[in-house]
Amino acid sequence: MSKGLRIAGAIGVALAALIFAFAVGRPIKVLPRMAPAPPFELLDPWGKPVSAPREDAKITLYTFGALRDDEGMARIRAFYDKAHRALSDAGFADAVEFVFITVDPDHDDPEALRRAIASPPTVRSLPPQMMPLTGSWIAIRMVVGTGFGVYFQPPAVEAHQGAGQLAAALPPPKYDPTVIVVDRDHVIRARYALNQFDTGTLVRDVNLLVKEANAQGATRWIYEGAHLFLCYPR
Amino acid sequence: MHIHPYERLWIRLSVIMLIVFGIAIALSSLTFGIEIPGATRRAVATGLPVDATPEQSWIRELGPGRYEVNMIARMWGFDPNEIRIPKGSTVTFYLHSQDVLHGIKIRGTTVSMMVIPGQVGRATYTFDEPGEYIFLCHEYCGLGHHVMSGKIIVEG
Repeated sequence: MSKGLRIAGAIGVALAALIFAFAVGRPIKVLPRMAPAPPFELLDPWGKPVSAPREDAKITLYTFGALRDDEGMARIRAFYDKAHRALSDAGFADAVEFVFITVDPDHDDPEALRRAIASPPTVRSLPPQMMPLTGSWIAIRMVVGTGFGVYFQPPAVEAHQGAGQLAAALPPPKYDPTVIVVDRDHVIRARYALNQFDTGTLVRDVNLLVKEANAQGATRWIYEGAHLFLCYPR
Repeated sequence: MHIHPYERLWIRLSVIMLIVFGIAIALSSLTFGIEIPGATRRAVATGLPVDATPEQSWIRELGPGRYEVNMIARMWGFDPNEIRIPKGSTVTFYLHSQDVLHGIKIRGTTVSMMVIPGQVGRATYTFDEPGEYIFLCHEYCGLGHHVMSGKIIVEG
């Protein structure tokens, strides 16, 4: 065997060993790029349009609910309190923003959202740091259902009209309580069921996103390689 | 015994690869906690819809052009075994097995996976072309394995 062939073989084996070590040892971990988050233009509590993606976007935690759903709102408030405290303790308070998108746009108009963030902490209030958004029924359907893939279903009007109920008295929509983590590039990177939410996982995931976003130069390419080798946390 | 140098080289390489694979398996099980799922250790997948359980199947529309299917595989059939969706729909399948190991392959698509008892399989596919897409079990699961199939009808 010629010397050149041996050197080439040695380089090949070393490269294979390096790739193997990278794939098995996973020295760098990243969160999977699950899907692009849906672009949208919805309304804030003052009726102003809020659009995404934005140039100055932060890592965003999206939650979904209906202000009339006391149990769901209590869950969202508890999530916010725990998540905000854990992220603040880890030094990520400024890196993350919280957004609430209503799945009950017929009732949660901008005025209702304004009341929800202005009122003192109650079951139906939202933390002032959480940006609530609303919009037309079809816009919400496209963003929450088609875009984020979160199931929600309004009550069947026919089932209640027979009982002589007004539209306002209909129960709130049913929905899957979900948290979706979207990075600065408007890509969905993690998704948690709200009832299985764990602050340790959230802090770990935000930490990974911040590290990846701050990577530059050659490190940036190593992070891209980590995506190729599925170096995902378990 | 005389062994040709090339043959010796390949024997050595094979042994090295076996050692490497052995180390990888040991690392996976001891360091990363990867285990074969059993009755006492169920896989918990986060972020699943709350209703994605092995008890009940459903097909539901999330929004225009986006659907979810909670599909149950059992000996020897899928529930639901016929799904109708409009052309261009993106469908996320959640798959559960109620008994033994099954598999699913949707012909003409990239959806192909094992359906393991205790785990939830997830796959998403966009059906851009109208037509009938047959899906079938591709893991031998018993006497009626060959009849375990269904179809997705994509309406144009």
